[in-house]
Amino acid sequence: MSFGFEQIAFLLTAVLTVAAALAMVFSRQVFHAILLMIAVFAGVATLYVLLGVSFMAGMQLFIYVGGVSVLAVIAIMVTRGFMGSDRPRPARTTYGAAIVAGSVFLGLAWLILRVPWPTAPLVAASENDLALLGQVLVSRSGFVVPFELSSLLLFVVLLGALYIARER
Amino acid sequence: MPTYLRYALTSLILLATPFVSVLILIWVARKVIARMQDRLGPNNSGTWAGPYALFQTLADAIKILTKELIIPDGADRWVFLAAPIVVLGAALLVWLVIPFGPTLQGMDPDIGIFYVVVITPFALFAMIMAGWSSRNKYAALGTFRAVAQIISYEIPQFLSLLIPIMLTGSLSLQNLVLAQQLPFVLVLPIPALIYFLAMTAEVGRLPFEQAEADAEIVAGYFTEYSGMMFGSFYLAEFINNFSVSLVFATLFLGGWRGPWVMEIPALGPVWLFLKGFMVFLVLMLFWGAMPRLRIDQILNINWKFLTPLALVMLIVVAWVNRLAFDQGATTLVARAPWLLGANLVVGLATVGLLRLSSRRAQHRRDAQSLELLHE
Repeated sequence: MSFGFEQIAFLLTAVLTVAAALAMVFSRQVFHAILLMIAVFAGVATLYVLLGVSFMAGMQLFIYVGGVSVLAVIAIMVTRGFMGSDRPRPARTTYGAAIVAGSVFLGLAWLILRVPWPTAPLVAASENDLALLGQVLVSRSGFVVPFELSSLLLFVVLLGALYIARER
Repeated sequence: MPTYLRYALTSLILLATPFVSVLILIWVARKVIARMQDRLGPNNSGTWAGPYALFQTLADAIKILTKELIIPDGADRWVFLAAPIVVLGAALLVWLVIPFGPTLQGMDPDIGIFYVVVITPFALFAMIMAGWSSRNKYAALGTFRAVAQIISYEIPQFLSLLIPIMLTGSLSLQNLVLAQQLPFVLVLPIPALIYFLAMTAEVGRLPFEQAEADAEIVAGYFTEYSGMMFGSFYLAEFINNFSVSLVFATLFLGGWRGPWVMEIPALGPVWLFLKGFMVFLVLMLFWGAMPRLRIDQILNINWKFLTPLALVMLIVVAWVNRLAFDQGATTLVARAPWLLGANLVVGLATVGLLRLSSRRAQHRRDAQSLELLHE
C-alpha cells in the first residue's frame, strides 16, 4: 500500500473523527456533546470527500449539521434553559448503553471481516454521476414511485406535527 | 510549478483577498452610511489617516489587536474561544468556490452552489456557540433570534436558488455563469428579489438585523467579546456581506461575464467584483435607510409571503420553461419573454392578493373600532 497524500488525509480524518466521537460520548454536558457531534459529522463528510462523492458529503452536512444538530440545539433552548444550565446529564444508563454499543460494534466488525469484499468496483464510475442520480430518481424506469412516496410521507409527517402543535 | 506549491499559493491568495477587500469595504460602508446620515464619516482631520481616511480601517485593526481579550467569569472557556475561529472559517470557506473568471476559481466541485448552502449552518453554529458560552442574557436573546431567523430564511433562499439551477441543469457555479447568456435577474426578477431578501436576512443586515439589534440587546450574540475576538466577528460579518453579494452576482448578474472578457480573461474578476460591489452597496444603503423589523414581523414575512411565493415561482417557472422548450425556444434568450411573462403574471397576482388581504385587514379593524364605539 502506497502511503500518499490520500492515506495520510484518511488517517488524520479518521483519528480526529473517532476522537471527537469518543469525546462526545464521554462529555457530561449536552451542549458540548452536540458540538462534538457536529465535528463527527464534519469528519464523516470529509471521508466522503476523500472517497470522491462530494454530493454525499454535502448531503451529510446539509441534513445532519443543518437539520439534526440545529434541531437538537433548539430542543435545548426550549427545554433546559439556554443559559447557565450546568446540569450534567444523568449517568444511570451508561453501562447499559455501553453494552449495547459494544455489542453492535462487535457484530458489525465481525460482519465486515467475514464478508468477501469485491476488490474491483461492481459498477464503473460514470462521468457525471450527479445528473445520473437525478435522472434515476425521477425516471419511470427508475425510482420515481418510492421517491414520490417518501415525499408524501414527509408531507403527512409535516401535517401531523402541525396538528399536534396546534393550539386548541 | 509543483502541485503542492500551486495549492499553497492558491490558498494564500484566496485567504488574502477577502481580508484586503474587507479593509476597503468597511471604509466604504462607513462613508456611505455617514453620508446618508449627513455626516462626514472617517476623515483625516486631526490625525493622519491618509487621503479621505483610507487607512482608518487599518489603524482600527491595529488598535483592536492591542486590546485585552476578556473571557467572562463563568463563561465556557473552550467554546467561547472557538466561536470566533469558527465564524471566520465559515466566512472564508465560501470563497473557495466563487468563480472569479472562466478558469479562475479555487475549486469547482460538482455540488457547487450546494456547497455554499451547506456552509451556512456553520456560521449559525458559531453564533450559537458564542451566545451559549457567554452566559449573558443579551447574548442568549441574540442567539434565539438568530436561530429563528436564519433557519426560516434558509427555506426561501434555497427555493429561489433552485430556479437558476433548474434553468442551468447543473449545480456547478462555473456552469451557472456559463448558462447566463442573459443575466438571470433579467429573466427571473422575482426569484432574484426573494433571494436578495433571504440573503439579507441570512447575513443579518437591516431590515433583518435582529441577531445583534444594538439598540435593544447591546450586540446580540457577541456582546461579551472584546479585542480581536470581537474583531473577528466584525470581520466575518463584512466578509459574509461581501461574499453573499458575490454569490448573488454569480447567480443572478452573470458572474464574471462582461464585455471583452473572452479576449482578456483578467477582466473576469474585475466584472465580478464590480457587480458584487454594487450588490454590497445596496446592502449598505439598506443599512443606512431601513428601520428594524420586529422578530415576529420578520418571521411572518418569511412564512406567509416569501416561502409561498418562492414555491409558486418554482412550480410556475418549471412549467413555463418546459412549455417554451416544447414550443422550440431552446436557448435562454428565446425563452426569456416566456419566463418574464410568467414573472409578470405571478407578480401581478401577488400584488393583487396582498392588496385584497390588506383591505380585509382594514375592514376588520374598522369593524372592531365601530364595535368599540357602540359600547
